[in-house]
Amino acid sequence: MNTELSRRRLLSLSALLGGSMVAAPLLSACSGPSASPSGTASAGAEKKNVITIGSAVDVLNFDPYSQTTNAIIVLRLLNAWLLNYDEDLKPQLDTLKAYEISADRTKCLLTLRDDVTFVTGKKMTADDVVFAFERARDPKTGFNLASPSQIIASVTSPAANQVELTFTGPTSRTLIEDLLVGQPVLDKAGNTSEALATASASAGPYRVLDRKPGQSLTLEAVPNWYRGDVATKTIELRIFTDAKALTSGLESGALDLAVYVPPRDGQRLQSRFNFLDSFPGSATMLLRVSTKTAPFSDRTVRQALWHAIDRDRMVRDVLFGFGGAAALPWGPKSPAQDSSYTDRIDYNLDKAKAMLAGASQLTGKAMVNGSDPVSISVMQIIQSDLKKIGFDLQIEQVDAGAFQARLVAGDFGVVLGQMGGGQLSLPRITQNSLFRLSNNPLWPNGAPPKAYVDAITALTSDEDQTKRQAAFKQLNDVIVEEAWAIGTYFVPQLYMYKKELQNVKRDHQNALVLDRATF
Amino acid sequence: MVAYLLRRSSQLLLTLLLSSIAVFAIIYAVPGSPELTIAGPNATPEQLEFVRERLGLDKPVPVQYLKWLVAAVRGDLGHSLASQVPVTELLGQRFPATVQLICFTLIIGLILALPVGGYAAMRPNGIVARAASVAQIVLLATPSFWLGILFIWIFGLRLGWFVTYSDFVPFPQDPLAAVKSSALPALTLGLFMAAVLIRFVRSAVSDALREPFILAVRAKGIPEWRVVTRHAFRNALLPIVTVVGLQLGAFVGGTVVTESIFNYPGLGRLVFTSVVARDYPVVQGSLLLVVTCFVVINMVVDLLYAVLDPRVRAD
Repeated sequence: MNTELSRRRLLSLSALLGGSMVAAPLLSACSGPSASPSGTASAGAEKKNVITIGSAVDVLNFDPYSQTTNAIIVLRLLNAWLLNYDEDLKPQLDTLKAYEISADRTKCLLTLRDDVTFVTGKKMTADDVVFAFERARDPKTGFNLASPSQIIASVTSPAANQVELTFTGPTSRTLIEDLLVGQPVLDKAGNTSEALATASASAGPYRVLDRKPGQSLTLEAVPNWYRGDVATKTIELRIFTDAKALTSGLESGALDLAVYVPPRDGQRLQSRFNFLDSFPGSATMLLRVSTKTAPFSDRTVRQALWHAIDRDRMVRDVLFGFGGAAALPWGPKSPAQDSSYTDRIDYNLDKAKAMLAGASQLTGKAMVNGSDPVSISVMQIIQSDLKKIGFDLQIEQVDAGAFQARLVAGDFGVVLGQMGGGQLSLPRITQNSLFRLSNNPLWPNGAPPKAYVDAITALTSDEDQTKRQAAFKQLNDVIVEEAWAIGTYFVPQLYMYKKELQNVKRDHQNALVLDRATF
Repeated sequence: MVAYLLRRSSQLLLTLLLSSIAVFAIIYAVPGSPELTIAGPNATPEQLEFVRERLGLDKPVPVQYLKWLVAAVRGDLGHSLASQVPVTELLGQRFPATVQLICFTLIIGLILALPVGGYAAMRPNGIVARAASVAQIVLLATPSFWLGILFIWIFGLRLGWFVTYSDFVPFPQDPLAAVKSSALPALTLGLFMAAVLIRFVRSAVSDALREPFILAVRAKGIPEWRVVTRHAFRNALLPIVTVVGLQLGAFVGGTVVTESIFNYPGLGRLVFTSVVARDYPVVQGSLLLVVTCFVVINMVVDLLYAVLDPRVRAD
């Protein structure tokens, strides 16, 4: 039997087959890595007109009223607003030509630009703006805008290009301007949550060209945009399920910009890429404490938690220096910030231990979102510190869907939850369920303390600085005393992008602003 | 044959019906709801109720299921609760991507497993056989996601040969781009498949080579390579086809980890994200598709038995 011949032939055949398998990818690799969906390297001139963005959060709808994390990435890319804020939170006109607040602060007259066209092709009229406000006022369909819009008593159109807001009473100027900054303008015909689930209807710098849910969203620049030509013609948003895959895409050069890069990767990449951290105070992580659940129904136990939060360690070890420590929920430039509270709420385990001495129960439950590694690490730091002083905090990891449901229902002992709007006028915080004036999930019967409600009410209407300072103090006092919202850190929402990409900005809500961005 | 196909088709329908009931029951039993994804975590009870009514989620679960079933029979799998895109459209985007990835994986797995397993069966104490055993154990013990991350690091970041995330480029549209964009995930899955198959190929070919008819074939003076490829392999194919069929069934919808690592837009990733978002229609539609594929693959394997083995045909 001639075995040598058969072995040689078998090996030759295997080598031929195996070699072709190896050669195919190698040959294709000779053309270099691809940076575009077609798999081919883009020509230099075409590349400059495309910004490829990676995001670990999908864009589920185009409704600026919901303003969930899922929608905020494209908030500024697709939508137009009455006013905008600059970096110093000074209002700048957007679709308004002018606005005038009456002397008694019960009315505001808006004069609209006449050159704003929606992506639907229709020009903006007063009718669209009136409808936009009416939808915001509707408690069912206003979503995130419903709560701040409750200060509006009526909306009318006294002239073709004017809209008049009448408030329920004298309203502080900053609150009115916040309202105008937060109000998007859309084509009335497309301004419903059903329609906005699949199509945008606003007047932003970009419009949707193609959408594959869970995969990609392609935007093209709107021609003759009312604020001038948009610098980059196309934006490709690629959706990632895994944050590591997102970061790898940025590192490999396939992505030009990555949204919400994890802090650990941000620290590693900050020498190679430019980055934008969150607008100061725009996103604060608070330890939400349910006053309905033992042992946190005991106010002394809740107050002890103020002294068991090692904020500096969280920023150093978990956030890698991004963001910052936050004790009170307000932005660093907020008039409500007060350094005199530092001693009352400083990290001091001895104080915490003394306060827990009289507690009837020294065990409690913490809920964390299992798909948020940062929250898990932060809660573990809190757990470790509490253990040193004899309190057993048990951490329960739940999946994202169950987490949201229990967060909304207040079905937890303590939980880390993000709050936006800390950089705005204080009454805006009532948008967040944590600071809601009614239906508050953290309080029995949904009613937070009267002192808190009174302080918010006072800040809604008063312009007298002495009274406002008193209201700030009352607000801080009740938050510290009742301890249902304990500040931990300012959330870093990192945008990292190639150094050759210029004019990348984010607004006061951390929404991307790219109308002037270019290579 | 027709009777066989009819019988298997009726089994498929029953399997689909029972699967759909089970999936509906399980997904609704899990805490969480899709209206929160749409309305946001600060939504009031009023707003959540409004969204629930709009999505039809306020109806009792059996009523929702029956409504879905009646529509599904007509080919309408509903709309994604999160994105409002028709489920059939979502599946139409993802399923071809999964099929293509599986095809590439199968090619890599078979190219590696058949010759290596066959040669290892011929020379069980040789270097190739021993190296194959070690490689097989290492590959089976290595989590596929780790292997994928390693490939990304080596081929994507260090060498820059491939983009670190994968796209779906239909093969007929651009073959080279299709191969390049799927190379890394296909290699990750293909190596795993090869590791599983090598053992079965080696065992099946070894068994076949010990059969008396092989002695008769050799006695006729036929070259050894033909003895192995034309005689031993043909008789070893039945168990190999069975294992390949099971592997393929598992890959449809079961590659969520690999798809996430490479960001490949396949069915596995769709199932995962829709379960997290409690997007019930998408979960239902995806899992029905997965079950259908699994049953069809097994049906094809059964038919292949008849093709490969005349004794089965006679039965």
